[in-house]
Amino acid sequence: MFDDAPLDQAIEGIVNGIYFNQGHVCCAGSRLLVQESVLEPVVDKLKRRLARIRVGDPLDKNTDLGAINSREQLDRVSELVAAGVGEGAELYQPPCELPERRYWFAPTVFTGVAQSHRVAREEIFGPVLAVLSFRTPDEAVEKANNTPYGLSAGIWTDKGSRILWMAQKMRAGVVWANTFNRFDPASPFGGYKESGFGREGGLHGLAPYLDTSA
Amino acid sequence: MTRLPVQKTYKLYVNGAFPRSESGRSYEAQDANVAWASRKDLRDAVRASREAATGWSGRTAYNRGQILYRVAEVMEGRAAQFRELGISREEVDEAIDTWVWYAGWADKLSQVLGAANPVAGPYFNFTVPEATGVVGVIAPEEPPLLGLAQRLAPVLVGGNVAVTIAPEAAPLAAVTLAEVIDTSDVPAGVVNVLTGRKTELGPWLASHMDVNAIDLAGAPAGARPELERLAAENLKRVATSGEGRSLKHASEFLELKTVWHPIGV
Repeated sequence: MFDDAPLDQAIEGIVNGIYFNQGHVCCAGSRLLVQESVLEPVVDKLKRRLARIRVGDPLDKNTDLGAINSREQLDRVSELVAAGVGEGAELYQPPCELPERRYWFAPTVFTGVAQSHRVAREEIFGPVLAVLSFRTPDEAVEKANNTPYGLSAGIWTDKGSRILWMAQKMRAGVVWANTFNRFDPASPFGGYKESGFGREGGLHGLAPYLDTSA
Repeated sequence: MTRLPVQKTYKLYVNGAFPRSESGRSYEAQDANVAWASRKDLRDAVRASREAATGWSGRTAYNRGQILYRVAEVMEGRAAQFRELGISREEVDEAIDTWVWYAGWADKLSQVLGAANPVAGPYFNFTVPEATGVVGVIAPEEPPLLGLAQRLAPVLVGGNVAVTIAPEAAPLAAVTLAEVIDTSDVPAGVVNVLTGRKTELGPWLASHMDVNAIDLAGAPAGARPELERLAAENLKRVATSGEGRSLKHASEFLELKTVWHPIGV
């Protein structure tokens, strides 16, 4: 997220990116890289927005954040969040009442995250966002690509040439620019590196089912 | 006065240089002494190729095409040298034509393999093929020159870099091809050629965590399942195409990237 990005719009995209389906999403936007010059206002806005997330019954259409899918997964999320605190990242959870029965986890943001932290390296599959900062586009690219995975990436900036430059550099199968978590049967979906083989959707999803002669 | 013959030791090709194996080992093949690469040589080659990867994939496709064509040009001038190694004229010609064929594809791959996708919403959405990165190539034993050309050119054309294990029994043409590549504007590290034992080097190549894809066309008989198992550890792409030249083979080393952007005023 660059300093010229439309901040409010980007915040909505970021919140959707990580808290949609409680973060149980293979392409969840779990690491947020913010340009240092707007880090403070972005984190402030993010925290304010988090306080408006409604946690509760997944069948209630007003609910934003439902239950964690199992005891096992709740344990895993809790364990990784504890590791984040232990490794020195700063935890923020908005005041919110969690139901007493079953498995719940409050929307969580970590700031002051280093690349070496487990919350920035491992797939949490929970409503947990790790915020890192960068100064230059090169630094953003390097940090973004510093992972064995490569399913999806997001770019928030108003500058067209920078979108295309960043999109070219990201080692990810899907790149969302000024949007996030968009899917379509006509659009190929799948990852680079250790995020899997092949693509689903679009012409490229059909190709493996065909035996073309050329 | 009789002149002493200049004996040639066939060496490795790593990072644009021709070193002996760090192990000091060599083996005899085709009546010559050939370097016998070690695990460390292989790791050095992977590191060199990784460093060369960004520069090579960042070149314009047009420029990559020019350079692959240059390989064909230089090979043509050195045809006699390959003939002296026992390669038939037909094989040399076919190998040269293979480089020309792939050179032509360089700036056409993304048009043929990419797409603008008609998504049901106000988004511009396109898909482009990109290099997967470092590719390990175990070259077929036969034919020693053409087999290597057919496995190497499709790796390079899309912007990948290669760590190659030469044909074990007849490695001289592979080393000579490395000399051609070295003088054809192919940047150092983009192609690395190791000579030695496939049964020794193959598993290190297949299990290396900084290799993105592997072509097992020349893997020793029976070794393939184990090499595929090792390759799966970091989800290496494993090439499956058969002999000959094909766009499909080149595409086995390409990742597809899909980019979305909203459309609006």
